[in-house]
Amino acid sequence: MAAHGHGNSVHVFPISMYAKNLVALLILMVLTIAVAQVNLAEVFAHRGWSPALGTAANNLIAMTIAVIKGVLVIQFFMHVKFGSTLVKLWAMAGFIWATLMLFILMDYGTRRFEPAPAFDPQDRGSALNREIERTGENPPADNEIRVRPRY
Amino acid sequence: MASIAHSEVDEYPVHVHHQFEDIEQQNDSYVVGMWTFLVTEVMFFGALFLAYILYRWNYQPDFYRVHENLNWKLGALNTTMLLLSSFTMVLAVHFAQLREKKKVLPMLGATMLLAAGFLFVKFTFEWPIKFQEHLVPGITFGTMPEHLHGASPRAAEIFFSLYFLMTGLHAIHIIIGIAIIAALAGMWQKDKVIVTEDYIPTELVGLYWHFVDLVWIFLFPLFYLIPQ
Repeated sequence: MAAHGHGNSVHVFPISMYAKNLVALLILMVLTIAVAQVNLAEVFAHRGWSPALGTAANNLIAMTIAVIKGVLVIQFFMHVKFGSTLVKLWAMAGFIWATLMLFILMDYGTRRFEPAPAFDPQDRGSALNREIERTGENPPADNEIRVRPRY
Repeated sequence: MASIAHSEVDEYPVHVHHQFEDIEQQNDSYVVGMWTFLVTEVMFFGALFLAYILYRWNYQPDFYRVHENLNWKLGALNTTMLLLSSFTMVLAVHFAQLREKKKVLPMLGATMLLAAGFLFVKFTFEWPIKFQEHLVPGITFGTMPEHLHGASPRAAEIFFSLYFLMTGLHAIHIIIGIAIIAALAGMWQKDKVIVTEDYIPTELVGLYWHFVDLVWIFLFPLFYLIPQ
């Protein structure tokens, strides 16, 4: 049970595994920097697609790489891949909670108006997404309650 | 009496406390306990990430413009140092499992050195310049508009509030991490049985350190690599 000599139930992994993980992490870091230097909004606009999609693609790639890096750190450096089911469950719990918390954004995303007053009265669109094609007049007409439309 | 039998050091090189079935269960309990703490850390940072996502969503063009004030090369340097420190930390755990004290101590030392390098870059080349450029949220924020790179000053202030909150909280974690690793190294130096006979304390410090690395993996693209 307790002691089988020196190792005593310890899982010792080769250094090469950690070294490979480090190299993978460094390559992914270089990759994320390289992709960030490419303005996909411009590339998309050049091809006649929506520039907003290009920005979204940039963000998606950066976050996907970050998640892959995070999984590599958790699985190999933190030994979760080799841990018990209970450890795996605990390791996932926090991130599942964080994902659920992000659903709060559904509320903000479905609001027609933002509850914040405009930042700069002289430039009502100063803090708005300048790329959005507004359906109404631009800049939006001032209103009594000083809310600014999202679109 | 199990507890008496387990106190025989030669027979049981790792002390299994009486409430545990065996060493596997004991180690598992320690690791789960550490992960419970890390879950609270995920919740701690998670709320800040939510705030970041919300304001980035609302003020994407301003965030893009003002982020040009940050130097991604320094961010990349810091990322490299943290990834390397995670590697040296995991090697310290590896050598702790093999009970090679002579190799554990240099690895812990290297981890602390890389962490100190991270803080040095942050506190020498990054933060002081923000103070000089009046980019620290407060009364004088944005009084040197050329450093805002065309962003709305109010949105830029939100960006830098998030920047200092999130990287500052992360820096506090780095400082605490250095202190914990120093304490661990001190215990190794003094040949304390609690660390030399059982690799779990080193592993748990490692888990904390990798978590700090994990947070930075997300902070780096979110602040330094904002797309247009």
